[in-house]
Amino acid sequence: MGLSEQQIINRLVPTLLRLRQTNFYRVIQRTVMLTFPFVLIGSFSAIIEQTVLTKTGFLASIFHLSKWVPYYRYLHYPFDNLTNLTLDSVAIIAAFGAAKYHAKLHHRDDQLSGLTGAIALLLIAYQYTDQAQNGLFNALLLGTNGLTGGIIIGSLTGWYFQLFSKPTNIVQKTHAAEILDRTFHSLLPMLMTMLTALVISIGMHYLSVMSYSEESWAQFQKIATTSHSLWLTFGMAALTLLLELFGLAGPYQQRLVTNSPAMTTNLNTALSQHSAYHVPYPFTANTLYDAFGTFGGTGMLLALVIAIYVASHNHNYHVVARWSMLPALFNANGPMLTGLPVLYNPIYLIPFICAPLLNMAVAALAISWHWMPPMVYPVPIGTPGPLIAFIGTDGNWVALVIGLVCLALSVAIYMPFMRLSEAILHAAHEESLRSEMTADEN
Amino acid sequence: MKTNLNRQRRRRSLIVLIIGSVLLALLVWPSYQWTQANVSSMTGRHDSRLSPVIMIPGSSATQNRFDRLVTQLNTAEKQKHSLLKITVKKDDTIKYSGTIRPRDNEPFIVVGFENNKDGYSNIKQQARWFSLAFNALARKYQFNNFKAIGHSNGGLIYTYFFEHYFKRDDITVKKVMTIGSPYNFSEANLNHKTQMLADFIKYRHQLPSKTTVYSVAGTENYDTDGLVPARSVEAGKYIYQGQVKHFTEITVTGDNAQHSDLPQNKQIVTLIKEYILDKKQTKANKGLVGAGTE
Repeated sequence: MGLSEQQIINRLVPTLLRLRQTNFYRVIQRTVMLTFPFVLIGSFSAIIEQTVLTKTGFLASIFHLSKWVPYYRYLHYPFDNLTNLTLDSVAIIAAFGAAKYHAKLHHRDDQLSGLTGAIALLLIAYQYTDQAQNGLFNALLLGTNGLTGGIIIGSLTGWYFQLFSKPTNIVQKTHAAEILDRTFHSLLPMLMTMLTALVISIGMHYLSVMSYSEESWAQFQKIATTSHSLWLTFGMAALTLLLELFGLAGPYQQRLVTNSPAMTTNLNTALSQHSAYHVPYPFTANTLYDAFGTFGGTGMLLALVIAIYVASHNHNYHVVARWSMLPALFNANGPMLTGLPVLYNPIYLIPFICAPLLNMAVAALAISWHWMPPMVYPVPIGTPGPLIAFIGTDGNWVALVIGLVCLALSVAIYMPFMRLSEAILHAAHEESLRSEMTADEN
Repeated sequence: MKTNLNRQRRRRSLIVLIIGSVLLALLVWPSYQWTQANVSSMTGRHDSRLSPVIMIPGSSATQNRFDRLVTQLNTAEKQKHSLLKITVKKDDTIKYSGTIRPRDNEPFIVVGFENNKDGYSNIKQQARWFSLAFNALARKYQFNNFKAIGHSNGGLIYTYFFEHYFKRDDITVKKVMTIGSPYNFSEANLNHKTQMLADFIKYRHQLPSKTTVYSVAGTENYDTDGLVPARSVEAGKYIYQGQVKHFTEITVTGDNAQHSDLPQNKQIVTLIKEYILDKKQTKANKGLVGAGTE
């Protein structure tokens, strides 16, 4: 196994290395890395807000924090603010980064390009309302779900700069006159970008694309979360995972429907029968996906964190994984997604989708063989992955064991892909060393 | 050298992993206790057959306001509902008098306030006091549904309570009856909305949407019960109509239709019996089937 795995890695490395070195991928990767520190801070703030400072949060519930912490009701305000402007505004940073790196690659004014990209995104996300007190910007476009949109808008901005302005020398120009000169070179692409953004923004508003798509999306999510057919549940989970890897929101991502009819029916049946074994809908998004497929957030990233601890040889991997431990424990996957990065990374496509699905399958088997009841009872927000099913089954120890087994399985699934990704990093590093050496010789 | 660094790095990561695992392990037991307590309390509430009628008297009236109504209802119903009276003091403490008899599934609970004065700001205060009493009752008696009756300002307190304090998904309010509640205070002209009515209308979307509401008005002549204009009671439709499942307005006239007499008005007693109280189901049946069922 070890040898054949090594062979496969050796065969894959050159292809993936070539993909890595395309301009397109470079821009994306750098942009994602740029968002990492903001996502990290935002994730810490978000987990504190959700698990400690929300009354129904995990730590708040089990330690009854709302009962004895003074001023508990007011403590969440600063964290709301911080989360909103870091994690939930990350697309602005992505637009800035994509525009900046694209312009830099083509020797254009990267500073102005980056800022223009960020403003272009805000122009598009602007909400035209008659009432001033409503939210100024569409939160969906600025948050983590808008990451892909931000990168596209940023890249377009960079491309406009490439088309409509002349290359500048990288040499530092400090004279005011020269700076002004450079600014006027960039004026055309800036204007073009903003005009395009305005046209898109007004067009979207006119056709009410956002509100319409939001509504139909909510409807779709509702259908997905209320489904209780086994195959539909698995299909929707796969779709969610795929979309999430590309920075978009999947049908199971936001739990809009916290109390779907199937969940309510399950809960009432369990309460009436004083047992959760014979509920009408044992295989729902809630009992399978939420309970066993989201340890460390979407994609079972807690497993990747552990895989890195156990087997990685890469320094950066270890650092990112150590910082991501706490967020991942409380199901915030942002730091891992942007830090390694896992986002837009084709290598992690397979484990990201397969690990949760396999866990769901294990759970479905365990439920159908009556090893454990399906999870029907309420679970606090931000419950650590392996404890979700345990709490949701009224403390069934088998559920806890199966949760841990699922985690171990996922670590095993992630392991080879992590090695592959490491091998590519290593190869890229060596290649850059080699090119430096040849450059020296010339 | 390199392997040395490598080992150190991995050791640090493994320490983090161990800390994480220990943290997780420490959380298992509190989680277990929480979910057990939570599920047993949910089961208790789910299994509870208690469905109290909770009443709020109007301004200047005490927790004894409904005594005669309860007597009349007990006579009419030929069964004795127990009566629990509660007073919420100005300092948020709650005083109980009377008890709920065991196996009485439909007790009457009257919630009065030490400060029972009129006025919008007092009503807001009283709604908060009521929410304290309500939460205490819900915790103590574990009911999953209740019926609400508010006389005069009691109906306004209920409206404010439903809009601002009642956010529980484990307890439903089955029926609401407000008796002579002046939704527009003493203003008879519906074009002149008081601040309170405007606020009630503004937050109406927070009212429980699955409940049935009856608003009963009394009239001595064609437009007032002697204290509250009929049009002010009628203004309740701007709050409830289209927001709750059913909204019915009823006007009673004749003897005892004066504002303060309404709770002991015979027609209103009948209305409460018909519309608010649970039907005595299968009592005759039970007698016939006999001891076998229990």
